[in-house]
Order: sequence, then C-alpha cells, then structure tokens
Amino acid sequence: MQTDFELDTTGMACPVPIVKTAKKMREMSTGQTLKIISDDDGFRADIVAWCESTGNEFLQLEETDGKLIGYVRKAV
Amino acid sequence: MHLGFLIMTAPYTFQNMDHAIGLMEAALDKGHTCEVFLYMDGVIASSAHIKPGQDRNLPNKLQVLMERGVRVTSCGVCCNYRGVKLSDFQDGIKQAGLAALGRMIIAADRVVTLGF
Repeated sequence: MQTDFELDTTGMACPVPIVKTAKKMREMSTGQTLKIISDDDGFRADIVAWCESTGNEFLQLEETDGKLIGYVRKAV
Repeated sequence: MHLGFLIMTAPYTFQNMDHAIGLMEAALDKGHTCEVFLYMDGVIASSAHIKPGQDRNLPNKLQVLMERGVRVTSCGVCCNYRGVKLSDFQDGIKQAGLAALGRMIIAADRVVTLGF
C-alpha cells in the first residue's frame, strides 16, 4: 500500500507506538496516510481502538516477519 | 447504559474481580451493556490455566459474561511483566494496550475502577 509517511516503532512498548502515531498524525494533513511498524502485540488492537476514539480512519493491519504493520488515514 | 470496568488486582487475592462479575451480571440482567479492561495484576484473570478446584472459577465466569456480549480486554504490557502469554488466554479475551483503555473510557457512560 502506498502511503505518505512511515513510522517505525520497533522495540517500543505500549503506549509509545500510539503516542508517536498521534504525534505524527498531528503533523499531517487531512487525507494523508501513515504506515506504522510495531512489534508490540498490543498494537494490533490499540491502533483500531485509537482510530475509533479519534475519528481517524483505520485502513489495514498486516503481520510480516513477526512485525505488525498498520495503515491509517488522517480524517480529522 | 454502557458500563466500563477497570480491574487492577489479581483474582482470588482481592475480591474486585468477584464484585465486577456480580455487578456485570446484575447490569446485564437489567438490559445494560458492559466491558472490562484487565490492567496490572488484573491480567492474571486472563489465564485459561486457572484451576481453582471446587472454588469459583473466575475466568469461566468471565467466559459466560463474554457469551452475553461483554468485551474483555487484557493489557499486553501488564501480561509481559507477569509472564501471562497470549496463548494462555481464556477464549474470547483480547490483548490490547492503553489506547483500548482510552476507547473504553470514552465509550462508557460510567467507568467503575476496582483497584488497591
């Protein structure tokens, strides 16, 4: 999936991947997309929950080589 | 009304899990909805390996609540610190982190915190 930005949070535990995602999204414009890489198991549900509570759009979650890759679109 | 329960103590050591289960049973009977976030030592109740013999089986009671529509989420980092693996989880319990706790707090009309 083509994205506008990428954020690697490998090695970071909850809540840091979500905090860094939120910080990055604040720098982005509405409609832009972000790819987030994480090896924190909680990220799987957290990224969906964070999108639900902030109104941003959750696009997809993939698992590759033990890493979770989430895609989100800035909606607000 | 949608109720959120934040449980931060270990089952059997404290009665918080029992209180939460009793409150949720009563709330569901009255037509309310509930969800649970297991945090700190509360994550121990995620384990399907708890075998209390003749005593009350709290993970099984959580299972019955989940079958009634209660979402149960367990903090992933808290599990890591206590050696509770995802593969140990009672069926239906999901692992997540503080974003999921934040979502529960926003979604709930009331949050009941049962801690130390």
